[in-house]
Amino acid sequence: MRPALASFVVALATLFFALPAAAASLADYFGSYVGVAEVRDAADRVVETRHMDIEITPFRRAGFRIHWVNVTLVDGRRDLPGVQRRVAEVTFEPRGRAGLFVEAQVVNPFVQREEMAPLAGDPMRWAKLDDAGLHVFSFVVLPNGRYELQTYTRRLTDAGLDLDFERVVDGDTLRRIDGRTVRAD
Amino acid sequence: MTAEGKRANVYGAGIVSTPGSFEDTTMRGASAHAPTAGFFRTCLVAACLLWPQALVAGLPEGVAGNWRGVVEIETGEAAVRAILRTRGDGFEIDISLPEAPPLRAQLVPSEEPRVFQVAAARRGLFGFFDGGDRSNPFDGEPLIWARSSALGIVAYRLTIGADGGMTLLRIAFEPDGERLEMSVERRIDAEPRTRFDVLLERSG
Repeated sequence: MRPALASFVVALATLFFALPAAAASLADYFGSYVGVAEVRDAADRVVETRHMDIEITPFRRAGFRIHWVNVTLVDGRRDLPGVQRRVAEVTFEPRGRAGLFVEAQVVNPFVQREEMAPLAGDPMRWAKLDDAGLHVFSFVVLPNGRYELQTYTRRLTDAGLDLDFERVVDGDTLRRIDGRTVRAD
Repeated sequence: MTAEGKRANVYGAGIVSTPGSFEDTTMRGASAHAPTAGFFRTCLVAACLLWPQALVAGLPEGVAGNWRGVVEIETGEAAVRAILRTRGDGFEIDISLPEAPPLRAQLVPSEEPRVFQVAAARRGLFGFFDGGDRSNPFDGEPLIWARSSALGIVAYRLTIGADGGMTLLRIAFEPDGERLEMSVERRIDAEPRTRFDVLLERSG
């Protein structure tokens, strides 16, 4: 191999390996995931264990929907009285081109759309996608003027999706959740 | 007066032991108040709806004034300045912090007692005429509000960037003798990045 060609190949290889790994796209998150999470209180004690069932799907043209089911276990089991099952869903649409997603409004042709009023108690929900994961924020100004912030960060793993959740009220962290899931067929 | 405020005590975020319900508050819609009974209550509620600023006064005693102090940051010392003035039934704030844009706003009572909002966002009878000026944080406009605490006030500013990142600033003021204690916390994407206390001196 000629020296010039060899130098070119080496330079090309260097450039290839120097490039950062491509960040996960929104489409990479689409799928179904099942797993387990531990809920910790403000003193970092595990107070609950729950099963998680998460589904992330496309919404409209460029948005996404997260639908999840949490089953809070009783003594580590889900076949005992007292088990709790909670279902929730939230949809987001892109706003601009820089990575901001805002909760999609439900369109009702018979009701005039009202402007969001955070200081009247309207919760604000939005999301962002970056190298660290898919982050969902839920923020509300409480009637006493304090705030509550809930943050969900979902990160892709080789097996599925990891979840970190934090609930903060006026600067105090009251609850954390660490969860691990695998992609379900 | 040339005296400087006490140097800041920078410390990590603490955790309190107050329990709370999970995913209940921020996943709800706006709450509605129960109807009240009795003529007196009805009159009181009507008065409050028509004149929400009648519910509260402006700044607590010992908070108003021009204040300044010094905090230590990575690159050395930095000045902190706060101007708090009673204005009508609300107050004005003008706060300068290192490594952060200034927080300036005129705040008036909101519909909730002891909660203040930016003047242009006032609701009720007067808000009927200017309600269209309400800020939308998703358009990059900061959401600014304040509340009265037991002895002072707490001011907040939430900013959501075009990339979805958030910056939340919380500044609490409480009188401490002839001085003013200021506690600052700044969160970026929910992580507490800055947290310090500083005692401010009057500057004029």
